[in-house]
Amino acid sequence: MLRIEIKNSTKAFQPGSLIQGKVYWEQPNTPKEIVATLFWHTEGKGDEDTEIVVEQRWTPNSEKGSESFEWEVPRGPISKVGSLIHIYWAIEVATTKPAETAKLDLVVSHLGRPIHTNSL
Amino acid sequence: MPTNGCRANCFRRDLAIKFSDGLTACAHGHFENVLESSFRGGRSHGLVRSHSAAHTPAELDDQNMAQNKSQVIGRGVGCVGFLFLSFMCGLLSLIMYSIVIEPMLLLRESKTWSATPCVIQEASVEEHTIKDNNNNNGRGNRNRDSKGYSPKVRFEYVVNEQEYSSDRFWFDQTLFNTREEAQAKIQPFAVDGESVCYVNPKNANEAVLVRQGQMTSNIVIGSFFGIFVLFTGVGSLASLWFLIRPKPQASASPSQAVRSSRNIVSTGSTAALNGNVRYDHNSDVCPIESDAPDEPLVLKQEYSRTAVAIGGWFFAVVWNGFIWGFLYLVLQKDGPWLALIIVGLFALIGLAIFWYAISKTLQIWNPVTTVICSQRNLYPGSEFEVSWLHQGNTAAIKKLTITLESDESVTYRQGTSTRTETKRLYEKVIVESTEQAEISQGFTLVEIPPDSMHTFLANRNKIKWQIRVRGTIKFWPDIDDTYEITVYPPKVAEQVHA
Repeated sequence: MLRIEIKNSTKAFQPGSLIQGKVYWEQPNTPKEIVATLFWHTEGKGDEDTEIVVEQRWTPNSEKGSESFEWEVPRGPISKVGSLIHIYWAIEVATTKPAETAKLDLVVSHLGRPIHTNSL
Repeated sequence: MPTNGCRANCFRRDLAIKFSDGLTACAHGHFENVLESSFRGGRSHGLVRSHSAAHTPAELDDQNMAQNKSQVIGRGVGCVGFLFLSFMCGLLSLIMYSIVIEPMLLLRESKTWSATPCVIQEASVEEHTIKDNNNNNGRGNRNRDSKGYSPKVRFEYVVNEQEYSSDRFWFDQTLFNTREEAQAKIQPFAVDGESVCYVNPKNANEAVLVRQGQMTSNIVIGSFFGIFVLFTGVGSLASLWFLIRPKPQASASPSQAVRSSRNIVSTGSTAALNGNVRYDHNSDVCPIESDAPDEPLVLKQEYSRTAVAIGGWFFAVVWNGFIWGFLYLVLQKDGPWLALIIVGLFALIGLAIFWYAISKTLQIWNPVTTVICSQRNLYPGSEFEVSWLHQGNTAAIKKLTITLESDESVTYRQGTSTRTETKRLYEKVIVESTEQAEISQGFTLVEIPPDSMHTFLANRNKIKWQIRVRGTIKFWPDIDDTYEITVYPPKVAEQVHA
């Protein structure tokens, strides 16, 4: 089991704000490493662009446990939904030995929601 | 939507998350060549090996060495490319000179050669076989080799009491389609008959019987060779530039090493390590304003009018060089009607491209526009002033229209080709005037909509903002200039973590 929890269960963040949360794991063996990333990626008609903006790693010493993280959300790009380009943000956590991943979608926007752009 | 082909059942196909043992989860498509054995063996979420960010000094050193090595290899390839392209350019230039330019120069020069009596020794038609390799399938069941005909002569003449002989009928390399056409050219010259040839006064060995010629073959061949000489020449110069350009400094900091190692974001990225947290931001993709004081900004065009005109002419020459050459061949060989129609259509497009180049060239002499933005730092919701000034013959501008525009464009692969699609997200006319005073200069208040998207310049997905100035001019190409502006992501000051 691998799980991400955000403080106050918030999923929309202002650019420049803090994102605080915890990573929980429970696995048959002690994971060798846990890596958490905050990233954005594009979807839509074009080929995909993506960027990892924050990366944090831990070396756990038990099969079950939790680690906290506190990251500063970058200024941009702002989450966006449009006719050609969508920009999505997410946190992904992955463990190795055993391998497992978990993902949590987020919104980064000064409006509290993705910007909707429609072509003229 | 195009995918990058991750072979795992993971959430993010294209993010390289590197573990200390060299394994990564869900690598990007760039890493596919190294997606191998570690991917198997019960790793349900696709652990793969990849080149990811370095995290220790040793890894950084390795990456610096790898980067230096790739630079050396790149320069080696550039050097070979420069030598090869230079050699090809020189060789093609020599061939073009000897079979195209020299005959044309000789034809022009022969106008001053001395008329000298001569006696025709031989006058016949020579047959040439033109191999059509494309249709010879080696089984001998289809022989579509074609034949061409040219006049063949030999004549003798006397200069300064010394006898000379020449077999140059004319300078033209054209082959006639029928024997009769070539025969018609040779008709006036009977064997043992007297005629007049033209002798080079500087070199009596050089003489020609006919100082005329269609030179069409020379022009067509010249066009083809010219295009290849142009391509290899430009390629050679580009390779030379690649070789002599300032060398980028070797990575001296973790951020540079990380930037160079990450295929996901390539340039303008800055990384910072904070404990075991690493921040990485690519300022090229999502521009962030500098700390410098905000001040008015004179906007510049991405491409000047002159650059656009030169680009237009380059494209027009290349396109038309090919197409009109093909059209000539189709006409010469009595090609099928369908081929004639298709090539004819492309030739018409070529004419349109010529018109575009002419139009862009004429635009160089339009009144010069200067656009000033009252502030450098623009955000969604910003209000700012746009000022404009026209210099030159501003009276020629009958109508001025200035618009604020935003476009999103995407690049994607479809089959073997790469396509780009652009859509307009926002367009607002901020100035529309026919008053001469206002056309000459003025200013207006502009607002960027608060719920609009900021500038975003990823590799394959882009959102751009621009101010477009259009001036209608009678009987002359209109002014149509665009000035890109950068709209930064909104600041949320009270939320910013100190």
